[in-house]
Amino acid sequence: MGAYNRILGKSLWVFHVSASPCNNCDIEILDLLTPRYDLERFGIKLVGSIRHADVLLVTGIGSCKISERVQRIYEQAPKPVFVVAIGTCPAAGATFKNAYTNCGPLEKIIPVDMYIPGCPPKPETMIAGVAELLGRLK
Amino acid sequence: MIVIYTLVFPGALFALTVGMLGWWLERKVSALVQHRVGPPWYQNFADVFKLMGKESIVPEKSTVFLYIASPVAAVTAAISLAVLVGMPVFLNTNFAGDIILIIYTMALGSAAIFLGAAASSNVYAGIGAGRELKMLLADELVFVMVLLVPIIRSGFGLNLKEIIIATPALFSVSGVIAYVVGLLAIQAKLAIQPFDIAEAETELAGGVEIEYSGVLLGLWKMTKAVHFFVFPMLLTVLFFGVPSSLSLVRYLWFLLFYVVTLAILIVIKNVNPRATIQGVLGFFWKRLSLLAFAAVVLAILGV
Repeated sequence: MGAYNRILGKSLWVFHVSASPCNNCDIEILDLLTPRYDLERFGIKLVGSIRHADVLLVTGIGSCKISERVQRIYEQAPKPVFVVAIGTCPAAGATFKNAYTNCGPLEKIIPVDMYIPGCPPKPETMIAGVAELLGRLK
Repeated sequence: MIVIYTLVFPGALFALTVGMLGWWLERKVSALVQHRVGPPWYQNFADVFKLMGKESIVPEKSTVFLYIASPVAAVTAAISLAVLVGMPVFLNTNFAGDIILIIYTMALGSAAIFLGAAASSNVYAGIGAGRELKMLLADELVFVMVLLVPIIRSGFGLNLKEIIIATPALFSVSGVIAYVVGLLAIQAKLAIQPFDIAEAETELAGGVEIEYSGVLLGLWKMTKAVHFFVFPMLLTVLFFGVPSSLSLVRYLWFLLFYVVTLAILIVIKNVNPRATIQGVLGFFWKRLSLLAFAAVVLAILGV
């Protein structure tokens, strides 16, 4: 699968899952597509349908209501699919750690391939994280 | 021989390669317009190769046969279109059929998109399917009238080979009008902005393709790539013509005007936001069809 993974790494289509975030990470994700960072040069594209996705970018704590949906979305994605948790929330809950709605962390809901911590992580950090994922594919 | 025509030269392999490069040009120039770097030249090849290795999911409630058959039919129609148009242009040979066959094959692609979307039992895909059908209604009449102008200019022959080696239709008032209208009709056929209302990434999340994944989605992408080759090519050879003898000059002549046509399409794409469906219908039926009709009348009068 070496050759296939190399080509998969050149064309990662990203689907954005908002699992009850505070919206801060989402705004930073959108930054990645702007002229300043332009991830399309690596072949990374934001797609609107889960059926087209290779990578799920999950933001937010994964509250009790949304966790079921996140699981269903993960099951609907065509495999192979990678899960990247953006921000501190999916990893540890951050400021919502003791909230009564918290059903996280994310790894209790779906398997996670990579964490990119930060509140929110800078776009440069996210690019570094995605480059790390590409490195793992090779 | 026909196998080689279909699978290698002007058919599948050649049409896909040129189409994906044309599509890349569209993405790259759009990126440059937005001050971005844009994807590398092999991006579309990597995308389709990747999709071939992904899991292909068939939704439980879909009409399974139509769901699988539609992308196959669409890519077949697109490749046969490439062979039908490519053989007179690149090989100077004829096929048993004329421009009417080409019009039918073009409509087949749209019909397959509509059926595939309708079969996938998704609400967004359903909306996309309805829009695709309305787009077909809007641009088909205009496009057929545009095709009539070079036919009339070349002396009422329906044979593509005779039309393209006659005096180029663009050397006349009616030809110029028809070419401009034809560019907009091609824009609608390719479903790129401002006429990407059936796919509508931001409001329908992919529209007609929303449920497709893996190999089947790859077939849709291949269809789109071949369309990027065939539709501008058809418009180019009809209006700019080609030198009558088969030589390198002919290929360079074709390449030059193919890129010119594609460049105009890309510029229109980048300066326009997406139109509304009633806006498109009104634009095509009330404005462009009148212009196209005027071009046909002028062509009959010999202007």
